Amino acid sequence: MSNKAQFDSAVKTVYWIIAGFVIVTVVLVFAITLAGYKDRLTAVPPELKAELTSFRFTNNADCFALQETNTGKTMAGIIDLKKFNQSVLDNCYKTDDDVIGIRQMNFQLVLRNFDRSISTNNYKNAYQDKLTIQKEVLVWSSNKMEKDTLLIYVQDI
Amino acid sequence: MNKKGASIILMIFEVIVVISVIVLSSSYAKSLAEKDSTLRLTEANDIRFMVNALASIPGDAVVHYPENTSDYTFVLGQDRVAVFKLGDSENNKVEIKFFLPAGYQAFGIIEGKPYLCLEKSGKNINLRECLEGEL
Repeated sequence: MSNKAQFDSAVKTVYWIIAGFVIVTVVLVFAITLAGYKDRLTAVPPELKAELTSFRFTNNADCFALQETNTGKTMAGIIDLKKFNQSVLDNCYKTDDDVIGIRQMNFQLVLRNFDRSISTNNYKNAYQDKLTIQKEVLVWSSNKMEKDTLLIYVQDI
Repeated sequence: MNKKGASIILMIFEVIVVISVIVLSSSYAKSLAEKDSTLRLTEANDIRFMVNALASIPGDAVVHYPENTSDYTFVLGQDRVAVFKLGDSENNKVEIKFFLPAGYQAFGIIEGKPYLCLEKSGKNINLRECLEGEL
């Protein structure tokens, strides 16, 4: 092979190394951009997700909502302090006891004035909180109604 | 090897590589543009939210999903909703998990029906086709 032919061959090898790198990069960037676009299209605001899931805490008699003993009527937005405990919360909202459960939405509920706090089974340290929902609620305790704020700390990995 | 022949082979190779890249990229973009997977995920999310909302209300209720759902099959289970097309591979099936209060039951299958309703009756949440008066 002459020097010229060797030079041409070397140039082509270098060209294809660079071209291959550029083509792979372009395809990867394109795929990542489109995947990101799809994620943005289907994204749900965490506030909406947390609100819809946490409605049950104050509105469902199987959670903390007060239920009249005579009529069986549920008083949405009124918390029965007797029910505000770990056992009721575990029945109301419990995520799986594995990695899937940890990756699901978890909550810590705090009744500010009554200084009571309970957490769902996979709620971790407070620094992992993503957002906080505040709800003005009435609390039924010792046969009287008191105003309070329910703080719902939300974790969603 | 003949220099001219080698150069033609290289050129053909270049053209094939470029065409392959264009075809691959276009087919991926087309699959996204058709919105099929996006729609499935959105609809599965919506059903999950509707189930969560129904589990939060004190009484009974029926909710009509305001989109045409005839392209898909919906399966509501105790802790998840799945959206897919018949004959889909497992990879194309969208499944979203949710957590109901203890004692609640969620169930129902609807396949290729345009109007989807979720009904809460006591502690049961049922996925079914909407009836005449519910639309």
